[in-house]
Amino acid sequence: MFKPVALVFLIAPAAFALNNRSAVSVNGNDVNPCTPASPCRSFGAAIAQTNPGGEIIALDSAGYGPFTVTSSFTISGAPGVHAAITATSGNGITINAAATDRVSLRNLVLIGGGALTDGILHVQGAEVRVVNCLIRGFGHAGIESRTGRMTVDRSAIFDQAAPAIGIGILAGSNATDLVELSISNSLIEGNDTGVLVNDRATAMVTACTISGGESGVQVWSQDGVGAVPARATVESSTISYNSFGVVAIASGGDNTARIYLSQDEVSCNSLGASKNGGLAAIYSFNNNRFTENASDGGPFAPIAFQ
Amino acid sequence: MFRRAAPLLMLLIAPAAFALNNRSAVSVNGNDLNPCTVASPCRSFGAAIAQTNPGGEIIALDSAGYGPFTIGMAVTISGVPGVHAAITATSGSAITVNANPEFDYVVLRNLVLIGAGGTIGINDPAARELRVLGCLIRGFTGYGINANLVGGANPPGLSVAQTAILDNSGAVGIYLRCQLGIKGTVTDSLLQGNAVGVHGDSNAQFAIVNTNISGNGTGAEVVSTFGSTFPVRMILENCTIVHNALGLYANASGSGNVATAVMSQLVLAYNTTATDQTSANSGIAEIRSFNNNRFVANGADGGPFLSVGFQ
Repeated sequence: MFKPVALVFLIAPAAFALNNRSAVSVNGNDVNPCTPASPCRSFGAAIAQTNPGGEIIALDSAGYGPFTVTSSFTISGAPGVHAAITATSGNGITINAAATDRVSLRNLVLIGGGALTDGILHVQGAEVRVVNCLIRGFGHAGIESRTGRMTVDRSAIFDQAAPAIGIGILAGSNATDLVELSISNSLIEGNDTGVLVNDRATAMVTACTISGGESGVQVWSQDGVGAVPARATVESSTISYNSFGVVAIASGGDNTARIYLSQDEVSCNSLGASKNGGLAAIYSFNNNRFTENASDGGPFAPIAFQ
Repeated sequence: MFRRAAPLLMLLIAPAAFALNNRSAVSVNGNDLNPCTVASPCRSFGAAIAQTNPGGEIIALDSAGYGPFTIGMAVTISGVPGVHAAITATSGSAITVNANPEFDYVVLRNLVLIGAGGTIGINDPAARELRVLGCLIRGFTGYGINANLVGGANPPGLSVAQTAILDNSGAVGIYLRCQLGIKGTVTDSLLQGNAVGVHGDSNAQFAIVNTNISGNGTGAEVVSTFGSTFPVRMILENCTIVHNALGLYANASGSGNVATAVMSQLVLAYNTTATDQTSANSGIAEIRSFNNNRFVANGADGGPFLSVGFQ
């Protein structure tokens, strides 16, 4: 006549508080609380132990594995540390956070296995900042941003080329993306396309070297519904040794693809600048150096100083 | 009557079944008998390369010398930021890159190469792309970086960034040559105290940006004197070329040979001779200007220069 009410066992999770600052180390362990004093081994485990808005630092040089970011975090290799992510399959870092979240990635090395994957994929979130990173060998894109704002500074985006065909930095991949891309002080070399700016994306490229690809900077508006713009402004950059230095393509409907050039060195490309489609245009402030291209591709639409 | 004996007596000597690493490591406290992982590093880059998957990377964890080595595959060799990872070559080359000319991409990052009797800092006879980032190369007797390649179906490339190539006395800082074509970029770098800062030869095309070229015998030169129809082109943007005996040199000799240098936003100052264009035997040597360069207090400026307009 015993009623079985007392036989329930409560299995509670351990009541760890989350950290404002988590840490990973080559000597860490993912059962640790991920503090600098007691670090974890992987970024993935450390993210789960970190308050939104907090940061995760890599204390030692090592590989820390691919991971997904779902909230506002800074992920940083400590200065002086080689904090790497090798992705033998899948993406290196995926940012799939709330639409208001902001993510910083700093001093990281990402190495791809050549599959059709991204080094950094921004699926959802307000803003991603990539500072001082080295990204090489991804088969789809070094960095792909499908939403929000993407900033890349002082980074090297190399050889998204072998064995597949890859893009250095990709902004927007369908007509609903409203990507704002900013790239500065970076080397973008040996990718099939250095920077690809798709429908509804706007890109600012400043003080970069973009070389050794099929296309250096390509702006491509192709969605047929409405006047879909795609824009790139390229300032004080070197665009060399590509088959096509800069390319604007507008196809379908009243889509517009525009590239604005200022203070750029466009040299040794097969074709310096190319436009394709009635509403594709390349504007110049008439201060660019086109030289030693098989063909420069001008004349360009003038735009005046103010 | 023992015809079958030899196969039966064969001894199978299998290699030790270690998996290769995607990331290998070397350390001053490492040992080449280790598996070369970050937790159990090796002592030399050479041993670590043998333990690494193609496409992987090798990092130097501590400040130390790690010895000359040869690369035969796609790989990144990197001193960890904050670490002084050095290679001293008492003879020959510090680093030899002899990989697949079509498929292998090689990155060298944050390394210090010292020639103490060595002839070449980085010798690159074969690779699709070689990227040299954040390195210091000094004291070699032949070349700092020698990219003299045979090439493959696609032209090879060399990019050098944030790198100092210093005091390779009697030697060439950066040498580019490939008869099938080579493309190069030199960005944010320092070329000082070399016999020649940078030399481009047959079918080389390269751009030099934001770079200080000073105190060399010749700062930067394009030379097309080999065979015929081997043009060479050098684009210089926003560089400082000062205190050289000769700042910029274009030399072409032979039918169809063309040596072209293009100047934009340069400062050429305090050179004994700022520029020299020497054509012989139907070759065409030419230095072009976007008319935005600053020539100051050279012994002689050279010129005139073919003017190129902005677009």
